[in-house]
Amino acid sequence: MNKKTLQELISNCHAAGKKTAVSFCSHVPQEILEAAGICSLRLPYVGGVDDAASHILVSNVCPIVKNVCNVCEDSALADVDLIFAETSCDGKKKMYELLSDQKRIYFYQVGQGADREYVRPLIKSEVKYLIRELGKRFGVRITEDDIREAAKLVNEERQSILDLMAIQKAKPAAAWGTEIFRALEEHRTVPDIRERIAANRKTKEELLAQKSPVGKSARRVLVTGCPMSGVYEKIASTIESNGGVVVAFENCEVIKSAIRHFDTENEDIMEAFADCYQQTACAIMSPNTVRFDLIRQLTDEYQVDGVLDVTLQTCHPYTVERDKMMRLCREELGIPYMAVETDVTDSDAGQLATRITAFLEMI
Amino acid sequence: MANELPKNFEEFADARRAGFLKMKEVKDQGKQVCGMFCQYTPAEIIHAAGLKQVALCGRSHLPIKTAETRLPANLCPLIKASFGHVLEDSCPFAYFSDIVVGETTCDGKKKMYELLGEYKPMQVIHLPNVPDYDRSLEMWVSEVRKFKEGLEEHFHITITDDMLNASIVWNNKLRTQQARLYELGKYDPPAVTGVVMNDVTDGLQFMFDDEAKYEKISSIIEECEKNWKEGKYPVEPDPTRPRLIVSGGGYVATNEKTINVMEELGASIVCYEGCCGISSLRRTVDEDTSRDPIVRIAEKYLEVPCAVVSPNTRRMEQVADTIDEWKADGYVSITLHSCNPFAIETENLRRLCESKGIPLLHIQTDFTPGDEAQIRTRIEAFIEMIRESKKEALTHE
Repeated sequence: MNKKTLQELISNCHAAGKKTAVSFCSHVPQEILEAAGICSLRLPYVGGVDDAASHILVSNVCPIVKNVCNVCEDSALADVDLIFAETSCDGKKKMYELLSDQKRIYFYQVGQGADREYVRPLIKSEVKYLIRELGKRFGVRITEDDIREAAKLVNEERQSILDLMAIQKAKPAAAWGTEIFRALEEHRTVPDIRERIAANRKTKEELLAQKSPVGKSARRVLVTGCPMSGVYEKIASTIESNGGVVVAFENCEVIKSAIRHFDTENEDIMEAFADCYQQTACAIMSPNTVRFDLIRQLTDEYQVDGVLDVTLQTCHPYTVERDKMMRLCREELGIPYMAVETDVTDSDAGQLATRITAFLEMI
Repeated sequence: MANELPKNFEEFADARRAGFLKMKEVKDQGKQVCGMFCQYTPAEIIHAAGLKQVALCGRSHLPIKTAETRLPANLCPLIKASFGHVLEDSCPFAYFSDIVVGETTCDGKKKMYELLGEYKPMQVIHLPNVPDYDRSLEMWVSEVRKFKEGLEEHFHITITDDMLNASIVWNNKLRTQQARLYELGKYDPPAVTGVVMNDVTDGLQFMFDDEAKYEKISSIIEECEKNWKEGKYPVEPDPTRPRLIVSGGGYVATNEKTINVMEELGASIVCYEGCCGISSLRRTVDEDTSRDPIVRIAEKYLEVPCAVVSPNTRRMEQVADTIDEWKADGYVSITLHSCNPFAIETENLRRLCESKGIPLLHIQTDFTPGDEAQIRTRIEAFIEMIRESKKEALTHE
């Protein structure tokens, strides 16, 4: 996504009389924003924004944190009504404190483990605080029914993402993973959730209607790790031009967040939030058992030949978790595993190509 | 001329090394040991459980190579060194720890503890991210309680409210006395040098006899105050001498290239802020025994102004007060390589210092040699700049 598209998007939302909220993390409960009738933008990597990060942040931080910083300080977001500062990783949560317009920032607290007693009550109370906050800021009243209706849509969107990814379960995979990721990136900037769902479904139909471009011998790669928005072109195209195909993106933008389900039938709506968001397979969770279970499940369902763990520079949660992920893949699952660390520049393209090619040849 | 160091002080400088032997004695006496890393560790509960507490934060570059076989290279040296020590069995404190307690403070430590737990019995306490009573006290109380129960289960003991109450009183007393050490820096010239202040506070972590520890602190405070009143200052009175506050996380291992150099070049470190300093000492636990002691303990630790919480307004307020109370002329933030919380927060400190009209120096370093000369040059320039402006201010008076 580039700055111009973002600006248009926001002004269109405002022109339609809607409030706008931006968030950068899948821990933020979209059901509430949808229920509040707020135009919620989960922003991907945004190109073409002014550099503020190098004046505000130390240099050794993750490229996503820098990009989020740049986006938030850029004129592109000047009119946005609310910026979600979720306390996921250290880099982001501390960066949010430095943003110049603190009035638009709302800190949303994220638990740090799925298996602790405090996590469910914390999710519930944070959700309640958020509902109250939206009431205070925008005068919106959110009823249980609103949430249930919104959650149905959010579930549907999640399902449409999973369905699109699932076409890769075929052998050979139905499409290039790069195409799928690219389509999802484009669709997620569509402000209307129904249109997003329709777009995901349409892409799925289109890709299924074509003859698979993927060769029979292509090695089936599962990509996992940090959010890929800023680097997927580089990583996925390197895999797919060197004898591999990405059959599944476990990352935040795709399966990790889409696999969660909100039980709209649950009598206690707050319990439903806890059930849903507790299941986030994010590395800020300690221990992150949900991710390990997810990898077990996906490597089986997608008949994966190799796991590529893509981490971004200075992302401590994912880089430290590599050791356990490597052992899971190699020792427990018996699947080849490789980790690559990268950033949003192209300076490592040659080295990445060499390593990824060698990995694919080895499989 | 500066006076000679009383013998007392050298003991402290040597406390960590001597601690290795003392630790063995403690173990030989059948006592059990709880290793810890962080100012969030509820000392009251460990003390009430009858455990000896010892800090396991790595300070040497030697075990880092071993650690990097399992951890990414681009990670804070303290985390790598601490983990490397356990892999290598090269730290007696870690070796003798019957249990290790860690908090989900920074991302690096939190994730490292998952690996450490494969080698040592561990209790991990989850921290709130937003240090707000309404939003976080409940979860935090639940985690502190879980920790108490975990110790009870692990050591087959019962920790009663009476034991906690007694421990709270004792730890408050100790903490208040420790905070008084920093008050010595309020004098002009300071009644103790920053290097000694650091040796003492650091050494205290490795003394395991509570009463003796308390007595030592008291006698040092008394001695320093007495000396000062008799005109025996640790440094020559000099109205242009820069008074610095040093802050940051886990920088003790970098002393030789940082704080020692500052004082060698003629500045005085009058106070330390951050996790090696005064920040968690200024708040005691409420002693009202009619209230649940676990809740009271949790309240104190919720207010620890560590850079891992957001928004960390409490730290900004505290730093502003510290600058005023200690009449500081400059602020030095020492952060370890790859430490996101303290490094990123330094920008907020810089803005605060700017509003207070004092300069800030940010030193990013690690445990390996090689950057001493560069750091020295920067410290030199920083001190020189402050000295010049103090001189100028004096001539205008």
